[in-house]
Formats: sequence, structure tokens, C-alpha cells
Amino acid sequence: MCTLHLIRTSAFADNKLQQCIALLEESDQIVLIDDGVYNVNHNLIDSVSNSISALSEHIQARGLSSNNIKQMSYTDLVKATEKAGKVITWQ
Amino acid sequence: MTTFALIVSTPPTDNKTHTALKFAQTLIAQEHVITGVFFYHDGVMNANQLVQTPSDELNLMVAWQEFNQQTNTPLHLCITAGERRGLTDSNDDQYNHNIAPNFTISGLGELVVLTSQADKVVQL
Amino acid sequence: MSTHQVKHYAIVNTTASFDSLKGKESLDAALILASYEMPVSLFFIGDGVYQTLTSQNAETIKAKDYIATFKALGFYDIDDIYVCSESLQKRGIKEVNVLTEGQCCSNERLKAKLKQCDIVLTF
Repeated sequence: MCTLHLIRTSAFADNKLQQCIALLEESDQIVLIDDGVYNVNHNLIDSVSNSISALSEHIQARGLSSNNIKQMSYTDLVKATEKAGKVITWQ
Repeated sequence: MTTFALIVSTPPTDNKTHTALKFAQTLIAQEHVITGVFFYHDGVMNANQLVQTPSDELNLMVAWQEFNQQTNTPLHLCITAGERRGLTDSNDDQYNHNIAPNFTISGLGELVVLTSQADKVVQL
Repeated sequence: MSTHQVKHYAIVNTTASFDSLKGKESLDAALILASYEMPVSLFFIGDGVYQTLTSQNAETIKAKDYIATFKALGFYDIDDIYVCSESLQKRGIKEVNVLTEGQCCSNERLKAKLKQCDIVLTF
């Protein structure tokens, strides 16, 4: 079963996203939340072929646009955690 | 229906704690069951009654209490982590019990029980 | 009678030893899990690898020496300890300087070990 990775920090400030990417399996999914949504504009994201989404409310609150990254609601996030085998939080 | 255990490790001064609350509320709205929310690390500060939140800001302690009242989701507090951060359940003269009602005073053993019973564990 | 199911836990340490309580409170959680007879695997990645250095001296800065407990993990039946080789290498740490109970692993091996766990907690 796939793992859902929640990224809560900006890769411009620390290396949590990098640590997550180093341990990604092919079927794993990444969701950017909190300051993690700043990663929509980080070039580390471009190196990842996994599914990446960002929490819509957190994108909007920070005045960002999500470029090519899918936005999701809290309801979508709950559904994604339900489907995932386990959740790993990077904060 | 899926059962979830949540671990909250951020203080009420972090917006990340609002994320945890909203996630918990969404779980209930989707008819899932939360075996319990376990407050650990700086998350224990969410139970501190002496925290003064400006009236035009979200008071997370009150919000967690309302969440507990509305959903009967247990809110467990790691007392060891709490005592280190100024929380006390003592009513001795030199202390003043400052843990908000609706929070259950627990230990790490409760973390084991909550997480092992749940289908999914989400740490926020 | 036990009211809980046995699950395999991964405790992933990503922060260095003393600046915050994370390392200490992570170890506390690992020991309790083990005392409830849950299988526990410890992972040290990123700055977390600094926790495994044998030459640390917490007393110098009046920090709690929870590091000493790492030597007793076997007593708690925590035998699966994985230290990220890449993180050590990036930080210029030789593998001989980390706690001998730990196994230094490639990212591939870390992934495989993480995959075996049911619940992952990061600190």
C-alpha cells in the first residue's frame, strides 16, 4: 500500500522535503500543507514523478498560485489518508 | 468508516494547530471515528487555561473543547510533557490546576493504546 | 488482557540531539511502545544522525544525557536501529563513530525497512 507524505515546511528553510524525497517509493503520494505549500515553487518538486497535491486553503491563504500542482480540499485530504497504507508527516 | 488516531505536537501559537483541528473536524464530518487526539511535545500547551488569546483571534483551547463536546472525541494530554511546559493537575497551595476541562490527563501509554487501536494514525 | 493490537512502529529521528526536546521525547515514546510489546524500529536520518554519535557529552551543556539510554535499547527489545549512511557522509561523519547497535544503511535499505512498519512517527 502506498504511503502519504505530508510536507509541512518550506524547502527554502529546511530539508524535510529533501528527506522525504530520498525515501519515496514509486506509488507514494505527497501533499503539501501549512508552509509546505511554498514548495510549489521549489525546483526539488520538479525532480519528483510522484503524485503531488497542495491544500487549497493553505495555497490561497499565502497568496500563492499552484502552477502545475493539483489543489485539494480537506475532504480530499481525508480521502487520501483513508486510502493510504500509512501517513508520514515531515515537520 | 475508518478509525483514526491523531497526534498533535504543535502549540496553540502555531497556525499548524489550526490545521490539525480542521483535519479532525473534517474526519468527523466524513463520518470517521477518532479513537483520540493525543497532545504531545508542545501540543500539550493547547490545554493551558492560563493562555490568553486576543479576543479577535481563534482560541484553540476553546475550539478543542468545543470539538470534544460536539464529537465526544477524547483529548489526551501527556502529563510528563505537560509538566515540563508549566501544566499542572495539582491543587496544592503553591500550584494552580491549569489544565482545561475536556482534556484527559494521560501518559504515553495512552498513545500506544490510541494508535494501535486505530486503522490510521496521523501526526500533525 | 490486552486491549490493543500489535503494530510495528517506526520512530524516525530527524533532529540533532540537544537544541529541542524532540530527541528525548522521541526516545520516551519508543521505550513506552516497546514496553507495551510493540515492535519498534528506530531510524536516524538528516540531522537525526547526530544523535547516534558516541563522542557526545551532554553534561558539558547541562543537557539531559538520554543518549546513554541508546546503549540499553537491547534491554527494551529494540534491536532494529537504522542510521542513514548518506546523511552521515554528507555531514563528514565516519560510520565507526556512531552507536554500534545501529546499522548504517543506504536509502534503499531504509525504504525497505520503513515499508515493513505499520505506523511511522517522526520527531
